Order: sequence, then C-alpha cells, then structure tokens
Amino acid sequence: MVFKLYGMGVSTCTQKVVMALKEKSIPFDFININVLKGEQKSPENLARHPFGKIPILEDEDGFRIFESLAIVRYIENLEPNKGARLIPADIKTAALVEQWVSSSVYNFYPSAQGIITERAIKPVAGRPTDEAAAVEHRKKLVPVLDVYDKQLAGHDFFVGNDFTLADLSHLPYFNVINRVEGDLIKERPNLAAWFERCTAKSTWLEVMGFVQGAPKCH
Amino acid sequence: MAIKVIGSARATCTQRIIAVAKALNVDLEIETLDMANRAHKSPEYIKNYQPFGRIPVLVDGDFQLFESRAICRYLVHKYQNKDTIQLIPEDLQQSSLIEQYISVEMSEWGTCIDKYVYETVFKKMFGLTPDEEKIAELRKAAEQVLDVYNQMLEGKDYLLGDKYTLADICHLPYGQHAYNAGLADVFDAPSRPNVARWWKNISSQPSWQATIAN
Repeated sequence: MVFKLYGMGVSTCTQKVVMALKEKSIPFDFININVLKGEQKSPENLARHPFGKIPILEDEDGFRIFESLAIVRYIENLEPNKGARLIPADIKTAALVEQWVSSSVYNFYPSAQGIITERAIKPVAGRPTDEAAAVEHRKKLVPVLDVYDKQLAGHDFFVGNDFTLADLSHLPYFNVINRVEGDLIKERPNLAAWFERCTAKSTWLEVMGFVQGAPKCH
Repeated sequence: MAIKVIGSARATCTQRIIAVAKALNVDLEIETLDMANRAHKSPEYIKNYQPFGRIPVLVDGDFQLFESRAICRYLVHKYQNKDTIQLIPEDLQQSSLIEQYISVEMSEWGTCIDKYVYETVFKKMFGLTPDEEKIAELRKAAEQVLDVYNQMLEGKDYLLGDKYTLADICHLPYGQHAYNAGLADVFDAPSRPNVARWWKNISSQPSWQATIAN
C-alpha cells in the first residue's frame, strides 16, 4: 500500500505525519500544497479536505483522512508494533498520552503557534511581525513551559521513558521555537534535555531531511 | 467503588464525560468544585490534581487523569464491551475517522461555537459584559463552519454515518449552549438540512438528555 500525503515541508502538522510514517517505515508519495500561495483552498484540495487545509493522507483504495493528530493515530494503528509505540497498549498509559496530547491543543498550540506565526512565518512571507502580539504569546507560553519542565523531570519523555504521541504532538513546534526564541527551551533544563533527546532521534533527522528535499514554498 | 470526576455537572467539559458515562451505563461520582471561590486555582488543587488549574479531573483509585476528551477515551476503553453501545468502533478506518472529527471539533467547531458560548453565556456567569460586535462575528464564523458540517453530514444521521459515537458526543456540550443561546436558527436553517437532522439526532439521545437534566 503506497500512501499519498498532501502537505507542505515546513508545515508543523505535515512534519508530525511524516515522523509517524518514518517511525513505522511506511513509504509515501508526497504532493506539495503551497499554503503561502493559497493552494489549500483550490477546488481539488477542497474536495479532499472540506475546510481547505493540510495535511491529508489518502490510500490506494480511496480512504482519506485529515487532521494531523487523527492521521498519526491511524498510522500508529496500522503498524502498532513497528518503530515507536506512539499510543501505548496499556489503557492507563495510553490515557496519560492522550491527556498531554489534548493539553497541547488547548494549553500549548495557541501561544506556540502565535510565536511561530510572528517570528517564523511572517518574516518569510514578507509580512511585518506584530511585536506586541509576539510578546503577549510569549507571556502566555511561559507558565505552560514551566509545567512541562516539571512534568519532564525524572523521565525521558512526557509519559515515562518512551517516545509517544504526547512528544510527537509537541516536537515540530518546539523545533521552530528553538530557532526563533530558543531561550524558552534552554532556560528549562528538563525541557532542554527532552528536546535534545527528541531531535537526536533518527526518525526526526529523516523528517529534517524530508523538509530539506521538499519543494521550496517561498 | 465508583469512579470520581472532580468538576461540575453543569460545566461543559464535565458534561462531555457524563454523557459518555451515561451512554455506557457507568456510574460516576461528581465531586463539585467550588469554582466561584476559585478552588480550581488553589495551590493545593494545582499541585495535586491539575497543573493548569482547570476542570475536570478523573480519579479512578490511585489513577488520575485530566483533559475531558482523554477521560472520555479512557472510559470507552475501560467500559465498552460487546453488550454496550460502540462509542469507538473496533474498525481501524472508522475509529480513525472518529479522531478526525474530534480534531475538527477542537479546531474548527471550537474556534467559533465554544467562543460564542463564552461570549454569550459564560461572560454573564462571570459578571462580565458580552461584546456584541464579537458575538456578531462569531455568529458569522459559526454559519461558515456549519456550512462545511452540512457537506460532511450529507446522507448521514451521525458523523460516522448511521451510529452515534464519541465524535458526536464531543460536539454536544458547547453545541447545546450555543443552540440555546441564540444559534438555533443557524443549526436549523433550511440551507443546512443535514446539520439540522444531525443536531436533532444527537441532542435527543436519552443519555444526553439525562446529562443536562440536573
């Protein structure tokens, strides 16, 4: 089965899916959708994703799924025993993974994405950074990162000592934050050690290779 | 010993859990937190139960869990069996599509319906003044999102087709508030017959009606 992945190399949500595919050694054809040019709203892409977004995964039989976290869960369940076990088999451990995944959506993404928009996306899109907004997002992110630093004390990953969906759901965002406001990570020893551990994974290096090789969008 | 949920039977995220428990016929003990006196922000609560100072929290013996959707999935995995309703079907594609719709609920539905409820309902509870301009904007955003839901629900009684699942339940708490607080005409609009049919199907579920009865 060869999958088609519609996405964009620098998109954090696309990177989550690519890392899951690499963990499970699942081959895929990549179709670039340039969000900076508005290609996600084309009639073809709207037929794949009713909200006109990326990423989208499609199989040869026409099964199609969107929303990065749902795609990653699908990939995990296709090959649970290959690569990292992204959702543990034990229901309590799995529930704790889901707790940190949900938490990332509500507590982390809004301000993390805000910083990424202001400090990483706008500069390459040729739009001015809104300094006040960037500062405000940072202020909101700080207490969340303090909670994370505590959570990551004493074990290697968000839930125990294994890399799971709880880590994957955060990693691409931290990778950009490290580039634009790296002090947020460096000042927190447990978070910094976690970031080192995640970015040293061979599958993450493969994701970075994929990003390098993907069509340029700007 | 019954599983305990620390929260409030009238709070949206606690209701999401109650709706799942009732659908599965699981007894839950609700320990009401004194939110008016900010018990959810006390150092003790933050240290022992929820690092972000939010509700709800599930306590099952010595196991604790926060985030309502994570708690819902846990209850399903623990209590769903061949004799209960299948809130997460075993089929891989079906269960993955449930996750797709839960993510859509969090990102698309949440950014207009949840915010509309905050402006129109919660602000009044907190003694704040609703922002009329924002309410008008959020209403327009809800119309656009429900247009897409109308497409996704074409030919279906529920998000997954012919069965009521966790994907539908996740939409109920904020949807019900929004429906009651001024968006009924948007949900029931003749231009969105699939949304109107779906909403009637899910909001009339006995387990949901029992959830909001108290």
